[in-house]
Amino acid sequence: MGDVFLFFGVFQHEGRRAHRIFGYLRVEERRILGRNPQPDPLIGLPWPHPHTEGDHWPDNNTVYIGWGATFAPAHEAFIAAPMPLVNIDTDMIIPKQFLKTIKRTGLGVNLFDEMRYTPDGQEIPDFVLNRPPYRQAQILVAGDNFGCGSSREHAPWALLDFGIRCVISTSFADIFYNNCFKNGILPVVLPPEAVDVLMKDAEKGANARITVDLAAQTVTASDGRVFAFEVDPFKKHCLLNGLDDIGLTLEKAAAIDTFETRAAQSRPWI
Amino acid sequence: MTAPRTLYDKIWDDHVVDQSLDGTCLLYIDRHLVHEVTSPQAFEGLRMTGRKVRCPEKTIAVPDHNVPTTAGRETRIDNEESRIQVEALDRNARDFGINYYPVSDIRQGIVHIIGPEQGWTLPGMTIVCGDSHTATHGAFGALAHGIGTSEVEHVLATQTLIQKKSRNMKVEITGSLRPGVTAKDITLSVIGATGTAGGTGHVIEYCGQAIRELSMEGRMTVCNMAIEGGARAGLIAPDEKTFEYVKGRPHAPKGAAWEAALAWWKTLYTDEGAHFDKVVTIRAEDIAPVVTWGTSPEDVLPITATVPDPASFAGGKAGAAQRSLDYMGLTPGQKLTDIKVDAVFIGSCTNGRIEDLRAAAAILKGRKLAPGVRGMVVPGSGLVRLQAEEEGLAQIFVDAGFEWRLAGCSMCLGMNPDQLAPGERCAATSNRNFEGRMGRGGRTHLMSPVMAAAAAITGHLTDVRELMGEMA
Ligand code: SF4
Repeated sequence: MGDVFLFFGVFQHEGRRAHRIFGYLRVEERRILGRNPQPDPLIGLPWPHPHTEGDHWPDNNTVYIGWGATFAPAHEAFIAAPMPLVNIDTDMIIPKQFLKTIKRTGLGVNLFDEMRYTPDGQEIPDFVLNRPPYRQAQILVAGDNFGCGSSREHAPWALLDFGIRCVISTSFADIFYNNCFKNGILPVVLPPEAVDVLMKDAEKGANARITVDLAAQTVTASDGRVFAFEVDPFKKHCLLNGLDDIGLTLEKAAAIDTFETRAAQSRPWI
Repeated sequence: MTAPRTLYDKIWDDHVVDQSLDGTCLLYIDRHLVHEVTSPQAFEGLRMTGRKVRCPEKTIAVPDHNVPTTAGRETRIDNEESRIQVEALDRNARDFGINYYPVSDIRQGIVHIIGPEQGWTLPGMTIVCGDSHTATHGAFGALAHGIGTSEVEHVLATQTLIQKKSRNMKVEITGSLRPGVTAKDITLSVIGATGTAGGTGHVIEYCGQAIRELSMEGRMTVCNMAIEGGARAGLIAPDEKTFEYVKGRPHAPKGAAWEAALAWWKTLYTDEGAHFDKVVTIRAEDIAPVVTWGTSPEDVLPITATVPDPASFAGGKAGAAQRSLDYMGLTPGQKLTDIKVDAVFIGSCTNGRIEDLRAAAAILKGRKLAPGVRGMVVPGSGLVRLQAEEEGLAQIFVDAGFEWRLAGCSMCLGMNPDQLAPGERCAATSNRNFEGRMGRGGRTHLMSPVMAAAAAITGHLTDVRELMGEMA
């Protein structure tokens, strides 16, 4: 399998099917559906893929399943879920029993598993992501020091798989912060006063949506107040353009070669 | 004359391959440690893009997180998902030709224990691993930190990492530790003082007399938990103890290379007058044996204290403290020494080295686990296990009623069958007391190996100094 560059993907948006511009998808699995395929519960699509409806579509209809990065949400207001708890750690985000996967996808159902389900697997109705408006949340507004704990990239994978595209907090743990960018999630650091305002919006569910604009580096609350945030220019560039940083680094192979030659002389024991 | 530099500055400068105008650097990585949980997707990424591992000789892999710690595991791992992950690492190590210590190898163990043990970890290096406790290797004066799986793939393919420099933070521990107080108490006390975000954006250099007086094992314990303090990495300048520890290890330099390396390593210290962005100073005499009472590593108190009242916390922390107490099943005002434990876990990359086992065994010798308490000792590597058996430590643990296991991460994160039951309370020498960390609903109190041994004997959290008095 390999990288496939897609320009469109189908999403469910406000109850309607809609095409959205996509970044890229790294394919982990391919399903050949053929003509007039049935809804496939394993993929999780409740409808046949629109390009397969009618009988003028060819037999080689294929669904690619994988992980990718899309443009961060811009100029569109999203529902934000409030999680005022401080020090939300990676064990809460995705408990270790789900780290045994060898894939990047499919972790969304287990996001916040131990807070979200009872030991026998029933949803806990009070938990924020189980409540109706927040099932569609694309933003999380959280307490200080979000993502502390382990380096597991399963944490951003699970958030992304659930549909979260942006996390807003006063501070993040370093490794988690980095991992977000590698997966098309935008972590936004704002001062406590701004997070308080957005937390109040988030508590109002679908009635108070939040807009995040990465290009302009702003977050807009439902009442129109705008909060500017800082982001590393290189990370922003990669996120906006869905760039693969391994490819970018490999362009510098000559510099790496030179470094290795020099190091082999000055520190031959390495 | 160049401006005075910190140890971190020096190691950083030595490894910059390329620097962009905005300060983003491409940093060369000398050693890349790999384990089974955070690597399968990275190797899969290489396969999908047709890329190779650039420096297989600098890449070292070992299964540790998932592996059972009971006999027979070389031939059979019952949990299917765990088995698939371990098999994936077997295959990836073979296909990409990297150094590998499979479960059947006596040298297998927790990645952060075997790196130093085999001499892969050397002063002045840059070391990464898809695991946050990579900070452990900082005890050797190496810049070592955890990375995510995408970065694992990046390092495999390019032997470099895209990084921005962190700020410098100094944590100085002046004076000498009192009896019964250990490296674990230092590191927990620092986190208690600075909070779990106190080091965010920084690399910490630990220094001061008490740090100098620690053994290499103790220094590893201190650096191991730099991440719990929010720091990217922890560092300790190398000295004679470091060189002594490294000398003669299988992958340490030999002969002329050793002399050259030694000369280089002796330049690895913070220059007089170098700038630190943040400084924390703690007097070693003020550090008592500590335990955690809550579900964050910053919830640290001396064993002589009582469970705090959530109302005494400022801001958003009151809610978190209340949630912690509910989860931990504790009431404000309760004496910490009245908290009963059901289990004791000695092991992990924080405290699974030979010195830790010696310290715990010294307390346990001739004593027994309190009735109803289960105890487990999980050595950090096969070689630690072997040495402990040769020194008679294993027998002391077994005589006391502990289970003596094979090497791995085990109950520290409960990915293998070693877990706490809901509500079960454990005195643990590991590094994280998060909700559910050691098993869903399990309650963890972090402490040093001697404190865990003391709790094992009495059946409740105990000030080890009382038992030491009896020994004297
Ligand atoms: S012993 Fe625990 S903290 Fe250390 S590497 Fe293993 S799971 Fe992580």
